[in-house]
Amino acid sequence: MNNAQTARAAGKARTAKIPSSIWKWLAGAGIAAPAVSIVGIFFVYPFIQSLTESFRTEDGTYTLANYSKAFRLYAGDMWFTLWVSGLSLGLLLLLSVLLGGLLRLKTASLVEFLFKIPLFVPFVVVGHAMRVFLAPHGTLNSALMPLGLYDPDQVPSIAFSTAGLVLALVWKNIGFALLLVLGAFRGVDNSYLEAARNQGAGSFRLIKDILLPMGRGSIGVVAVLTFSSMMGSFSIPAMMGSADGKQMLMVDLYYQIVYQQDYGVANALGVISYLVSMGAAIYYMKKVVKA
Amino acid sequence: MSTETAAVQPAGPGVITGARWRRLLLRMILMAGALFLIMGPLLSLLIWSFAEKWYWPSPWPLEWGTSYWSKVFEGKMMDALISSFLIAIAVTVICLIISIPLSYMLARYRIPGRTILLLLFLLPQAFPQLPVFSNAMVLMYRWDLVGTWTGVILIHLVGSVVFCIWTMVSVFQSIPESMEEASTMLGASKLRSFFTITLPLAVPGVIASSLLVFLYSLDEFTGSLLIGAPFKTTLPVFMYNAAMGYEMQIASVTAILLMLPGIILLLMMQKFMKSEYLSAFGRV
Amino acid sequence: MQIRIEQLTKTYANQRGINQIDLTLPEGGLTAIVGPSGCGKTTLLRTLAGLIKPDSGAIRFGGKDVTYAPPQHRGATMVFQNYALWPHMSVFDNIAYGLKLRRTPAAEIERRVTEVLRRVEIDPADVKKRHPQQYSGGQQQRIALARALVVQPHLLLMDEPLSNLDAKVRQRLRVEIRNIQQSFGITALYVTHDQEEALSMADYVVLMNEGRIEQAGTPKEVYYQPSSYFTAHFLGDSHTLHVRRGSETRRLVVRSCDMAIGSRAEQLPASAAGEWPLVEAVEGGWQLTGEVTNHLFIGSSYRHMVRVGSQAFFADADEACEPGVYRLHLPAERAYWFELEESAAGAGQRLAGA
Repeated sequence: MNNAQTARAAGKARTAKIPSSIWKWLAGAGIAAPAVSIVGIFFVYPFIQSLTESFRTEDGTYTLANYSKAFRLYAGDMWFTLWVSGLSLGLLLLLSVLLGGLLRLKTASLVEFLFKIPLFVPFVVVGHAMRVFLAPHGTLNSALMPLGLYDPDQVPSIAFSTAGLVLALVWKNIGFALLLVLGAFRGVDNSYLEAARNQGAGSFRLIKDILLPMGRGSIGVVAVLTFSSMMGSFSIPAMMGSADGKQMLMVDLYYQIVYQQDYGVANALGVISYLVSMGAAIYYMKKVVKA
Repeated sequence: MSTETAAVQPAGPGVITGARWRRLLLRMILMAGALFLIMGPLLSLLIWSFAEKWYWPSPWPLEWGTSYWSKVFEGKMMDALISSFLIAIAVTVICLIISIPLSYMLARYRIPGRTILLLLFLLPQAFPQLPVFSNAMVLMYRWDLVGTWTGVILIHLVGSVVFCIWTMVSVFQSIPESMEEASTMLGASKLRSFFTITLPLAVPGVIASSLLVFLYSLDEFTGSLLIGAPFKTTLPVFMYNAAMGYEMQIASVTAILLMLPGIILLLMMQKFMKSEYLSAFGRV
Repeated sequence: MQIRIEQLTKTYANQRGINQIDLTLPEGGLTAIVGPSGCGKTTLLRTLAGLIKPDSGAIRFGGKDVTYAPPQHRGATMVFQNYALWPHMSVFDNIAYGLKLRRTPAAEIERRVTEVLRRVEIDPADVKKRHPQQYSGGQQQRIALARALVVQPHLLLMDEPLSNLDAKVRQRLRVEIRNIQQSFGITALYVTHDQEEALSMADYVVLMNEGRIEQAGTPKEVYYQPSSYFTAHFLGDSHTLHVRRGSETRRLVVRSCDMAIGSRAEQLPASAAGEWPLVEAVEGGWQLTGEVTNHLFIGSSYRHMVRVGSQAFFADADEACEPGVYRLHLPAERAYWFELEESAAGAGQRLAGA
């Protein structure tokens, strides 16, 4: 409701029985109600619930027991989750900046199209496809077999390892990252690049000295969004598994709910994941938005 | 540009020097690498879906066939397929109905708490979904919504309202207010102006956001697994179960079915999809 | 260093290319390329910069063929229309960038940047902290010049560097750019669509049209001795009249400041009406009769709208003339006569015959 209307409505209200500004307010509230209540009931409330429940034991007393148990059981997995997400993020940023830079400097619509595909492939499908591709007896090894690079009885497995997990996460996120990074790079006026080329900069220099610093904001957005998404990813790590027993935090959380039915520990893990997400967002706000 | 470091000595436009060949070769290798990395996993799915028999260490399936594809049209898989599409349609329709008027309101009026509302709708994509949805599951148990289609639709709506509202707000904001004012000045009511002027102008945005919501719902996994399984199985959950049970062919066929709508959309919509719509979609 | 351009050609689908350009830039001088948009002036500039590869022809920097050399190997730097000062780098880093790419020692960079800043009159005190956005438009212009000059190029290219500034600043910067160019003694090429800018700044003016050079010469030469109708019409505040001279039909290009408003006439003679008014030869020049319809005050003088038959043009005078019929005088050396173009010639012939 714009101010003039509200003022006029308020003026009329002195004579009318029910002020029309109240009607307008009610209409607005009515429009907002369905969407707000769905998100409120099924996201905000459970979110708060997970905060409070993480501090409670089954008998209803408030303790830090869930957290100490979570750290006792999963401290290693927490570091593993951060390590995998961080490594994937680093690779993803490197790849998308290099690729985005090259695509900004020379058009290659086929390559651009190719790298948009992962955007539309669901997480579960990525998990499965990577399993099929990278498993010890998977298609990658099958395809490389005739080259005679290794002994058929002792094939390397990428699928159920940290490398496989990282590869799958990078693969899934490259479409999104490239889209944003390339969008930012395309927003950099040609003259800035030409000025640098005029001074003697080559392609790599153009990317490093001009595109990267000028696209810093969007790259920050990509970093925060993908880091949170990788850290909170569940289906890909659940399907890719891990050979040496380490797991991503979301898989542990699912295990606690479904098999142990220990909601306290699960919620403690959840709250830790929120904190990491928020930490990344705050870091971004401080580092990128201010600069 | 392609001769940045190559042509220190002058070389005519038609002359291909050794450096140029190296450059071309490098480009080809990069292209092949990109093609292999992106298409490799996807082609693996295609090969597996047609493999009747495939034992290690044969580089190719021992027997090809379409018997697993014919299973699409029978039994559980067909059920999952149909219900997934029906859910996606329902979610899209409900989502549009509840978010278009709200987006319009958020785009046009300085209502109190506007920023808070916009941020509220961002939350489901900003935090990990699994811990929140597992608590939502507890709530849905209390209301007997677990294992029902209603429950699944509700949990899909939580995640998809974001796409709808954020795209529609920017679409409405991009339509000049003067368009509506011109209509109201001519005597049309606010409601009439909205339906005859604003909404038709917003159609491309409506189409884009409904496609995003449709795909989100079709691909949604976490919520469907917690709320639906094992009584109501959507296609992604079906695929997950098949893959974890090492039914490689079934899982691959399902995976391709899940991927197709997205790929078709990408092919069709390359021109019409603005990148800001697409970027909203990255976060499933 | 002498810059020679030989038979340079670059074709585009949208005809913004250049066609067999031959040009020699005088050493240490400022050459201005001027022409309407789409005449190929920017293409020529960018080809010299190495940002565009020509289809054929050659560019020689002091005898060395640099036609296909990459931008960094030819020693031509450019000042861009929007300056293209990188906003994420400090002013110092902007200027030092080219030197860093050339692996110049830090102390040397420091010395040369300070030196160039002094010469373009930018205070070198806080350039390491301040970014280009914190400077005024005119200062940014000088920073852009400093960035281009610090690497000691053979050729300085300027792509409409003043078009983003308001009129007052523009006047001042013309002088400043000219002073800096002369103090460095650098060969410079300046592209503009503003004829006044070209005439006032350059040693040598090149007029381009449809990818070709129409005329080249000193500013005075091209202004007072236009060799083609295009040049005459393009330069100055010019108007074209289709007139009869004796029994011939001609195009006459007149500049507002050259036409003097003379004595009043009783009425418009029949010969001055219609589509092809008559121009008579008089002592020292030409005379025609026209009707002053109204005038505008333009500060230094009055600009009169004059109608001759169905055509109209402007004539400036120190005093305002009341509307009415006047005799107008044009000195012989300020009348630029040209043949009619094909289509109009036919019409003229028919009329002359009638």
